[in-house]
Amino acid sequence: MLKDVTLGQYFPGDTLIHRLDPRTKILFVTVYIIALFVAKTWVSYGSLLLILLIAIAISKIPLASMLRGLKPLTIIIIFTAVINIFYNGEGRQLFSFWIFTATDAGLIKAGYMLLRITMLILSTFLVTYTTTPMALTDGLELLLNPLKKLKVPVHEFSMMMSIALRFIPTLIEEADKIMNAQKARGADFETGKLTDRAKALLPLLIPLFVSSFRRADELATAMEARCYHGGEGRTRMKKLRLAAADGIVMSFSVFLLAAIITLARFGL
Amino acid sequence: MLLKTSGFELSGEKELKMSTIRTEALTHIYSTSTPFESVAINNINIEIDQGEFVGLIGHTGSGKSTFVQHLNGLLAPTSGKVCFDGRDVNSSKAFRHDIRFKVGLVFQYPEYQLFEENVYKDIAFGPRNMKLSTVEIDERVREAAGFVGVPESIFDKSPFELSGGQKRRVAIAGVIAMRPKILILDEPTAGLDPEGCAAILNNICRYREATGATIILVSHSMEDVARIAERLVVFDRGTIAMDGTPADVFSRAEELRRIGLDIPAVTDIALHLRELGVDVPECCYCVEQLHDAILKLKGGAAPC
Repeated sequence: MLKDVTLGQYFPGDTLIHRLDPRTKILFVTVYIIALFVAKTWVSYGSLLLILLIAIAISKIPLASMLRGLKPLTIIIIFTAVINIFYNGEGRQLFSFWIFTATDAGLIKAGYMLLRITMLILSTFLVTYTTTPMALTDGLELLLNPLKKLKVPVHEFSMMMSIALRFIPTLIEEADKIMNAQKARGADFETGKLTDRAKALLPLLIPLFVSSFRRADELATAMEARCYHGGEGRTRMKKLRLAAADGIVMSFSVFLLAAIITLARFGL
Repeated sequence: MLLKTSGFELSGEKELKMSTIRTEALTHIYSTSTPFESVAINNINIEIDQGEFVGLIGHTGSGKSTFVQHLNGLLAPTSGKVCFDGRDVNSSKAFRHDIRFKVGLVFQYPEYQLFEENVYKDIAFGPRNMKLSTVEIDERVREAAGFVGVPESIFDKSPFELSGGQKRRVAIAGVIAMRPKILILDEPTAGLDPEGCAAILNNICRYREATGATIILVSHSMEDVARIAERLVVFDRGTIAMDGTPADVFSRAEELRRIGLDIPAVTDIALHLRELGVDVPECCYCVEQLHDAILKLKGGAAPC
């Protein structure tokens, strides 16, 4: 059941998207998200969707796997969309009850919102699916490097992030194991009132916490045993280098943002 | 010979016996219809009778853990079925919940599932889920603790303060306290020192003698299993490769090696001796057997 969570999972591959520099991917997806929020009508949404689909096709990640990642977020997505139907004063009224009034403009807006959130999530998934957690945090660290001048502990943050990403699958697996073990002792996680179900989580959460602390302790020892002492003077085994493809993608991202803004100006 | 695989014709007759567990064409596929699809177990037909002591051996990833999780309904088969006393385990939700108390499953590294504030409460977790009376729970906790050698003096301690070996005992007691008719243990001795191993295996034998429960011991340690199990089932890539008495199974040393399993060191020595022309039996799997055989060859009766 927990195995369905694909958050932060890396799909190994050797496609154009996989080979791109992580910095390029992070920048591109940032620009892409900004563009998503600038976009107003189906023309811009359509072109952004097309770009996303092409990118997914190039990455050779099955669309089904991408969509499965959306599953845990369905409720949030639908909730946001439904809220948007009702909280929109403009447009022709379709129906209303109590304090809610649905309008046709609201309905359209909700549709766009649905599309926007889905595309936002899918585009970030594409980055995490095609980039190893290590490369991702390396890229992020390099991008945030200028902040070091302001005494922001960039290296420490990126190290924390890479550890967190690295341990997500491990913890999911562990939670699954503990859950099964407690079920084998008759624990019931699925039925009962909400309060009962919350209480039923204790036998899962406590061992999970204990083992997280144990793992953290072991990891700290292992890092110290290998003389880790923070980011100062630390060099890299694999230096990130920008290739021609990165230049093309980055230029394209600038062009994309410009195009979407222009389209928005013309009300498209 | 205990060759009980694929004997469905007899099922009508067998149902009269109590607490047998039977699988019919049991198949489990993980992550169906995704790129990660993998067949964990494939077409398993086996029948285990009340009171048997079965050793389940196989390489990592041979499907033994997946298999045992079907026996208490934790995993639902992709196809085929598991029957307990002739009734399909997955026939109803209530029965599937019930079966967990009848088929006790001790997972690998069970100490990681401890969570209560003290040892007593943790052992009582299973019986409490069975909705038993306080008196009954108390009786079961003390009995279970007795079987695995958890002294009552540590009942008030936090399970997290105990040593590794003690934690393991407490966790096993937590399952035994449900008085399962079938007790399945997945690598119960993993990571313990030889002394701890022997003690745990001893406790398991004691539990069986006292209650007549069926024991299924999953292990990759041939030595452990060979000594105490009466029937060995060898898993290989999701199917049953062998099923018989330890003597039967270990006489097929070549096959076992091909599967990637080791034979007990004693069996290995016996085979080497045979190659050298010494007439010892093929299927020695514990030191005492070989010891007696060699002494017999020397012409003397076993001393002392």
